[in-house]
Formats: sequence, structure tokens, C-alpha cells
Amino acid sequence: MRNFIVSIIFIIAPMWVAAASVDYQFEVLAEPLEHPWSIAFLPDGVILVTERPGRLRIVGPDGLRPMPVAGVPEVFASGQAGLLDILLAEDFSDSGVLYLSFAYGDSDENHTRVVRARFDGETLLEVTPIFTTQPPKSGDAHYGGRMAWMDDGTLLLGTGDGFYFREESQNLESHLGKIIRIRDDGTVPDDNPFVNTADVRPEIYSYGHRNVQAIVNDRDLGVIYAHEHGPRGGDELNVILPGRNYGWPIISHGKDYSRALITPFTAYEGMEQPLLYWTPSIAPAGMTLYDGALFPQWQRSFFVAALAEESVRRVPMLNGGEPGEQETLFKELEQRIRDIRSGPDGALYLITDEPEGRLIRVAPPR
Amino acid sequence: MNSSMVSRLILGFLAAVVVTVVWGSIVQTQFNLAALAGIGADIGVGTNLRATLTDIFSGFSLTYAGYMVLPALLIAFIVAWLVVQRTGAAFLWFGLAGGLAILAAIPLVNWLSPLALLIGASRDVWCTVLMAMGGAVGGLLFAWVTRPLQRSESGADTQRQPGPANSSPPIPT
Repeated sequence: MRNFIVSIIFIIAPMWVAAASVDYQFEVLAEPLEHPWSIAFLPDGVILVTERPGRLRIVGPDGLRPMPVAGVPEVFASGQAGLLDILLAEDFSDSGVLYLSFAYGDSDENHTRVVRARFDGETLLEVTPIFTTQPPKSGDAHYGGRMAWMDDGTLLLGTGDGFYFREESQNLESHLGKIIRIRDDGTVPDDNPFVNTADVRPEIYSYGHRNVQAIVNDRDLGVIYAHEHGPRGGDELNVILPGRNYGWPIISHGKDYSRALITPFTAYEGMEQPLLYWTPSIAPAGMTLYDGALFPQWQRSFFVAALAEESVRRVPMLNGGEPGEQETLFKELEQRIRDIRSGPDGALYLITDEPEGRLIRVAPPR
Repeated sequence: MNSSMVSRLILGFLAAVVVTVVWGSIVQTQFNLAALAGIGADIGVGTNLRATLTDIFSGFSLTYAGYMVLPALLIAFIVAWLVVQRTGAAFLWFGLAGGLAILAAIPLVNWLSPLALLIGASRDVWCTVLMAMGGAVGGLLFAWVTRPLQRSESGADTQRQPGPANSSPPIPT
């Protein structure tokens, strides 16, 4: 019995230390936000938040402004479809240019679209579509939508397989289930991997993805990471390289929702293995590589927003670029976390995927 | 209805469920594998067999049985039983009921499911149709196993003569 008690103490003690090693507190900055999807920090301290039904909201020092930004293009809002990501141009301070991704079309024929626009503080001006996935698909699931800048100023966009069309992820004549690379005006970079290949969409950077939900450029290491939803299990974190095939649906560590095999293969020649995968699914939905000053213990960690697990996974990245032991955080919120970002002040910012969702700042206690 | 009749009824129903589930599992596995082969995956006989057995014995069957086959066949066979009492033709009605029940249950449960689609292979309507044929086979099996009950409960499949069973011979006047 004594041995049993000692064993329990040794099991519990490290967990308590780990949990207690970093103190933090939550501060709700804005609510209610209807299914918020993404966050962008403006240089003047204002935060822009996309709401999936099609609104772009402003959160200033005085809180959530009642009027959404005018000029947001009409989106196809249904199920998982709607207004998705927001990404500021790298020269936003001078240009005021930003990019929005969203579902475009109707239930019979829809696409993931990216527009470029100029924000004057209240309104979007000069809204110009720069990329639209082809061919159109039906339904309202799996749009991807996350965007990121590469070091050379090109734009990456993750797309989804449309759920009903998973085989399209392997079809290079389709944008479904791909990571797309374009210039900031939508044109195709000359060094895209398939730019001179016949019968291949030249915007494709990588393929074999299911539903890309985050793209992060680790500028220190020069590595692009992306995570994506698996089906029942098999959510993946991948290192993205040009022209590579990430295998969906020929390889997967997940199963169909019915528990049937989607594929008998977890590995296949010519297809990339994930850096890590989550089974059972956590439903990763956003990601940031934290390098802020407020939580020195958490630097060089990925923070992965998780919808199904209602948590944030911290994935410390070891020196060799390998993921370390994961930590599950913020479960006390008991809410689906749609996105998490590193703020310019060193705090973490997350949004909850609820009809009355919240923008929450996570910082050390004052 | 005595206990042996009840046992036969339960046996017939369970046999129908098992046949329908295994049939459906095999069908959806073949549709999934064919889709993978269509995009270049090499699906050999051994891989096919392993995948088929995996779907039957580890996961899919329980989902399919619990959410679709069991409730659908239960309702369908109760309705068919009532029809058979009046009309006979047990093989026709139970076969039809089993097939239609699965044909309706797959899209209905897919639609009710919070997920986009519970059975991925049923994206293809022909997969649903072929899975439903398993329900028809299950219905035929149920009708066959419960033949003696049909004879004892229903007049239609028996040697019953026309007219009231207890009618007396006409009395000459």
C-alpha cells in the first residue's frame, strides 16, 4: 500500500509542477462574436476579427465596436462556409492592404476565394479578387482558408477537399486539398513546383491535404508548417515542402466517421509522413509559433487551437525541429478554440468558436 | 406465440441483421478501395482482403448495425409482418421491407448526423443502393427462418380453404 501511495505522489507531482510552472490569466477583450474565425493585429493596437457569417469586426482599446467594417464582400455562409482568414500585407503600415479568404458562391457551386483590399480604418476599399479555387464544388464543408506569407513575399493559402471530393486532393488539375502559392497580386510565381507542368494548376505548391487549418512560417528556421483536420483521428502537423504529396486520401492515420477504413495505408511510396499526428482527433483549427517575451518558458512552442478537444495544445519545438512532449492548456475555458495568435505585446490571443464567441487575451497575472 | 416461436423470431431477426451488416460492410469497403485505385493506389488482393475483414470485424459493423441496420430492420419488419398477416407473400414483403429500410436509413442517418456524412462511401448513390440490397437479402432470410410462424400466424401462406375456416357444410333444404 505504501508503495502504491508513493507511486501516486511521483505520478502527480510532475503534473502539478508542469501545470503550475507557468501562471497565466484570461482577459475577455470582446464578446459576443458570432463564430469568430481569425485575428489580425493592426499597428495602432486595433484588432480585427473575422466572423464566419461574413462580418469583419473592430476591437479597439474601448472594446468591440458595434458596427462591422463596411465593404466586406458577400460570402457564402453555411455550415463551415463563410468569412475565414485575414492576413495583413507586410507593408500594411504604409499601404493599408489586407487579404481576406472566404467561401464564395452558393451551395451548388462554391469556391475558396482570396480578395485583396485597402482598409481605411472603417471601410474596405478597392476590394479585388486575386484567387479563386477551381473547379467549383457543391456542399458547405472543408474550405481550408488559412493564409501566410513566405519569406520571399509570396502568399500561401491552404484549401480543403470539400469533404465529398477527397480524391481531388490527388488531382493536380484541381485546387481542392492543396496548398496554393501566389504573388500578392494573385499571379503565379515563376518558381512554383508545377509551373511548367502540363495539365497541372500552376498555383499548386503542395498537395494531398484534407482540410488545411493553419500555415505558419518559422522565419528563424525557414520552415513552413501546416496542420490539417484528419477524419476520425489522423489530424496532422506537416512540414511543407514544394511539390510534395502529403498523401490524403491514400494515406491517413484516421478512419471514416463510421469507423470504416478510408484507406488501408498509413505510408506509401512518394508520400510524406506527418511531423506528428493526433489520434483521437483534437480538430486543430489555428496555430501560432510563440516567441514572445511574456512567457519565456513557452518560447519556440507551437500553440495549436483545438475545436474538438476544447483546448490549446502546446507543442515545444526542440532544437532539431522535432516536436517535444505536448501540453494541453486552457481546457478550463470549456470552449471550442478556433484560432490562437501571438500578439505584438507578447500575450497569446485566442477566439472561441461559439455563436457568442469571445476574444480572449492570455497573459501572466498582473 | 410460444417460446420456440419467439426464439425463431429473434434468430431470424439477428440473422437478417448480421447478413445485412456484413453485406453492407463489404460493399462500402469495395467502393472505398475502388476510389483509391482510381487515383493510383495499388490495391492488391491481399490488401483488399485485409481491408474488407478489418471493416467487418473492427469498427464499421458496430456503427452500421447500431445506427442504421438494427433500428431500420426492426421498424421495417414490424410493418411487413402486419402486411404479411393480411396478404401473405412473406418473401416479397420482408425482402422489399429490408431493402427499402436500408435505402432510406443510410441517407436519413447521414442527414441527421452532425458530421457531413457518416458513411463516406455512400457519397456514391450506387454504394447506397448496393448496401440496400443487403437489407433485401436480410429480409428474405428473415422470411425463410420465420416460415413456420408465417404458416401458423397467417392464413395466406397455408393450405387454408376459401371461406370461413369454421364454416359448416351446406344443409340441404
